Amino acid sequence: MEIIISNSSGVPIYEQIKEQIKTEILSGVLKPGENLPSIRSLAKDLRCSVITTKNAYEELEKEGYIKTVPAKGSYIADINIELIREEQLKNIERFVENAVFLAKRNGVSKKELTEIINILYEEDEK
Amino acid sequence: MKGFIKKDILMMRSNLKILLVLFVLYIVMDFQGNSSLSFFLPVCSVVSMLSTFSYDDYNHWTSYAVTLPNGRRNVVKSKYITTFILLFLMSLCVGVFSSIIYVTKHYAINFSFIFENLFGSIVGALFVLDFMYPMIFKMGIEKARIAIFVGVFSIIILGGILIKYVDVSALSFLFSFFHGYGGILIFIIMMIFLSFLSYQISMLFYRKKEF
Amino acid sequence: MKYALEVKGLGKKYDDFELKDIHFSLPTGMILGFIGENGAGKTTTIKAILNMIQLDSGHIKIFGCDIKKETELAKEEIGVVLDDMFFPEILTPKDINVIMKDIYQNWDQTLFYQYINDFHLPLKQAIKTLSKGMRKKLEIATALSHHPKLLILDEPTAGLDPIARSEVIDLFRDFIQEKDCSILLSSHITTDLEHIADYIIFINEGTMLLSKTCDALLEEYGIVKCKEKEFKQIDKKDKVRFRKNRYEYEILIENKKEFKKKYPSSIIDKITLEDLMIFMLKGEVEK
Repeated sequence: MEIIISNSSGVPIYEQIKEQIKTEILSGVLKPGENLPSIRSLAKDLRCSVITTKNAYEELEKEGYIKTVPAKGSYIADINIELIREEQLKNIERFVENAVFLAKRNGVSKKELTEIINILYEEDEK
Repeated sequence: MKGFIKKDILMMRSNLKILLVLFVLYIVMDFQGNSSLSFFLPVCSVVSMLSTFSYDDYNHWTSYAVTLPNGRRNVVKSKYITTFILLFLMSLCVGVFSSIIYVTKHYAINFSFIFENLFGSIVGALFVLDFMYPMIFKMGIEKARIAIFVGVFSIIILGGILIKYVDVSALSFLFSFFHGYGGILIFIIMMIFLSFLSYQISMLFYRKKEF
Repeated sequence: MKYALEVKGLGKKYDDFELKDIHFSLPTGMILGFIGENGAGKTTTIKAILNMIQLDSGHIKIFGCDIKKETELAKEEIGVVLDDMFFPEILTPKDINVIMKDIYQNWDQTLFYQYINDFHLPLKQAIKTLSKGMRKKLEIATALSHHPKLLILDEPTAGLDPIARSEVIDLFRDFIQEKDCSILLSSHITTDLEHIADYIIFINEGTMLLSKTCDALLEEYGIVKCKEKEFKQIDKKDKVRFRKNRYEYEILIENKKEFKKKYPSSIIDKITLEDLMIFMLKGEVEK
């Protein structure tokens, strides 16, 4: 598991932790049933406060990505990644639908639209 | 509590050299004059004990000690017990050396003379210390030192006035009263009572003291 | 939730200073940091918790026990570092071990020597020969060596260089790995606290100005920079404090999200505890 915390990004640290663990779960790096480090050891390794990691885990649990057993620790919940992926794809489709609709109405060609998507995609990866 | 006593004793280690030099000096003086060694015990025990208080205050050990288990009680208790230990050790040394000096001087031994001298100096030391401790615990060593100085000074002046205007020989019955083993017993009881009283007063002050 | 420390309505009056209604609780397993200027009342609060001063009002509970009734009960379980209060300086670290063995039932000699070794402290040199940083490390080693459950630390990083400070902070992180171990610490080096404290209490002139989780403070508060025209358009109640520079206004705001909704074109900078302290103490309140 890899987590990179940026102190200057302006995104709250607990959210950075949450999102990165989520990404690792969805990309299959973290597998269902796998143990997560305790909130204390994670806080120590990330050099943040215990309450921050606690918040991140609590949110992840609320969203169903992880399960916590008192006195034992947290592990990745037995979620169906395919299902989540499908749902997310549907979400994306909805947004793209809007984009295509706007493009067509304003005379933006398919090529121009894919260009925009390409640029945005690459920008994010930088 | 043992820890607190150990601390005081470990601190006195740094005075040990000076004490030894003084001890030798007093022995030399004792050979020449008469029983100077009996002054060693009250002077050096008082100085040693006061120096432990000074070190304690200088690094705010007294404040730190309050945060340790049973801190307040142990600070007071340990000072009194350290005092007794110190007086005991010093009287052993003084007793042994006075005997040796007496024997080399007189080719005989007079235990009651040595004992009375020693006893007198222990009583003197204990009296001063029992008097000082409550003041130190109340106001800290710096202020207490001034108070003690004023106290001792006024006693000397009062004594001077007393000797000048009062017929001292009239008081001699007092001295005869304290003479002999009965007198020693009375002194012992008095000293125990005084130490107990001093301890209780110190404790009373220290229990409420703020740091 | 179990609490390592509960403080309620703490009050103490001196001739020239008054501590008023200090109240907070420290859940077990957490770190609480005091911030504030020198003389704001951090040390006085700590002294009250350690029963070094008599309270005028209020209650303090350590591990659920009232410290007035059961003064000595908790002390075995507390490790203390106080600013400038320690062993007489003619003693050596080795002496401290000899003494402390008889003071704490749980004194761990091996652990103490381990710290001495890790910190590269001389064992047989008098404390007075040690540098300020070394002394502080010795104090911290002493406070940790009887396996306390609660650390109470007044300026534990004062006088340490950045490397030593990070070493010490890491030590506190190790300490907190045990679920039932908690820390209360004060510091005016706020960056130390930012990376370790779960809760922050900001004390000024004897009263509490702020008491929140550190995350909430850093997320909710922010700084807005703007020109005079924009400054006038912002509601008075949205400006917690402000500072006027020659070329711009800087405004401390307490709810970034709401502010962004209300004034979408504003640029909000993130805040540090230091900014927060400076704004709260030096910034102006709009009348």
